[in-house]
Amino acid sequence: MRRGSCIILLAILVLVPASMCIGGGDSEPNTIKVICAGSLVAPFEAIEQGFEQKYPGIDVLIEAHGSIQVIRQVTELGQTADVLAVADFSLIPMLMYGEDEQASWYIKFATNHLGIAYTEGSAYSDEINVGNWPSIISREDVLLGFSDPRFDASGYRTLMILQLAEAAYGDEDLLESVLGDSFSSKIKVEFEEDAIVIKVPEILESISDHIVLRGSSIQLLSLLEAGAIDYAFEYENVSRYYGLLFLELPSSIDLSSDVFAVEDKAVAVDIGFKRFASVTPYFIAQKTFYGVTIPNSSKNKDGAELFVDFLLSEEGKAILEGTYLNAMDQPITDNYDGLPTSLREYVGEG
Amino acid sequence: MKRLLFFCILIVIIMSSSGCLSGGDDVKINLSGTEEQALTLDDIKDLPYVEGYGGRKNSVGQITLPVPYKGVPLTEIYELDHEITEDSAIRIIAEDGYIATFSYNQFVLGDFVTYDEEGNEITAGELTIILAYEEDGKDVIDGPLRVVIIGPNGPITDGHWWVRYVSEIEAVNIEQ
Repeated sequence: MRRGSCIILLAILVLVPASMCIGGGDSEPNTIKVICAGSLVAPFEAIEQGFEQKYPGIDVLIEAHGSIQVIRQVTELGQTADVLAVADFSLIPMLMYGEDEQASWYIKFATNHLGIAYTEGSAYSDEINVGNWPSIISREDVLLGFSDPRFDASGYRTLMILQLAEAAYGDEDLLESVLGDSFSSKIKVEFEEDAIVIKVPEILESISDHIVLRGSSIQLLSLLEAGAIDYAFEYENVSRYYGLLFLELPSSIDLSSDVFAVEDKAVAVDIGFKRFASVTPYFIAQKTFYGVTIPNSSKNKDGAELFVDFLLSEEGKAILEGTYLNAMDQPITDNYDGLPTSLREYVGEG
Repeated sequence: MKRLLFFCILIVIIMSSSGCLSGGDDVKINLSGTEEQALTLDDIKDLPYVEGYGGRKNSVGQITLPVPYKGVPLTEIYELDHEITEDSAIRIIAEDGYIATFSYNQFVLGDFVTYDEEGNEITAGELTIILAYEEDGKDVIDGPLRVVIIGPNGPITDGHWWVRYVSEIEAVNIEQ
């Protein structure tokens, strides 16, 4: 066999099976693969459109999951992505830093808050307001959509809001009144030394007509539109984007302020359902910040930097605001020196 | 050169036969945590099986349309070593660290939210949750074992229940 033929044969033999094992979805130099949280789908599709108009030679591919799954795609499921964006920035250091470092910085770039979404057809829609919502959504004839806290950040954040509302509205039975005996295993509240901890059981099933439980807040949107439920806790940007009525809650409880505590105790949710071996499901109420990073394994770091640059630019901010997401005037990073140089002009450290 | 060529072919065969597969035939199901109860994939294939169509919807609404599956009902596996009561639940643990726990209502009565192909909620017929080892006539892609929900009308259910790369099953009792 001639030497040239051997080299070609060797290359085929090694490269073909190797490419079979890589799997789909890896970025080409002219594509940027972005994996984002479900509540970022509409904002990031708009960003994609703006970006591709500005850089016609580059194709942005958007894929969406729940925030924890966004990161697991890269850290545990062997996918390659160029940009990751999640609804809870703290997941990035929790799941990507450390010994097997898969990212070394994040940027908090947008905020959001939860409120109550409803329609004109919702029961008592002409009565509900910021002062009486707890009593309205507690009524037995009201159908309340509830995002499952075991699967969805907005689900455990809803529980935090209800607990914080007890102090804000001076009603220590508020959480109990809203949830009642709606679940087969009860959600319990324990007052610990430095935290009020809401304990979610491993099995959570609605046994009443009052609470309609679904795996994610996105699933509740179609139920609201169809009149199958009256109210649901939703992010503001998602509610407004889908044309729903949105009741804003006081900033002291809606997870948009800097501090959330009741008499110096933190409010936390402890989930008995450990969905991922790598995640301890204990979440503390804190301000809702979206976080973005470029994983170390990105195959197109230049493209990823260009995308994040566009996201943080004035043009990108305007696009985010157009989809009702609150872009931060001054995005914040935890590692200024670790950032790609091109991104440093946009951020402060904190 | 011939030796080098042979070596390369050997590497290719190894990569093709093992590197791209998840698991293999030595997957064990550890019911109630005792090694004695471990089942191999072949053991599972020897259990009574059912067949049916199932599809799934992910958390952002993307739908994978129903295809035929073949596998063993979770009740069949549970009853190998435990009596089913209304407090029974079954915990499925995947090789990649994913965990899901199914209540009595789910794994015995088949109580799941179901959707049509547009993603709208519908009422489906009787559902069965199985440990599937065959998908569309072939080995399960994200297997060799995957939790799948099937039914006579090809129900579409939430994807977070479709645990892939199943490596361990635990029988648990849930206090109501």
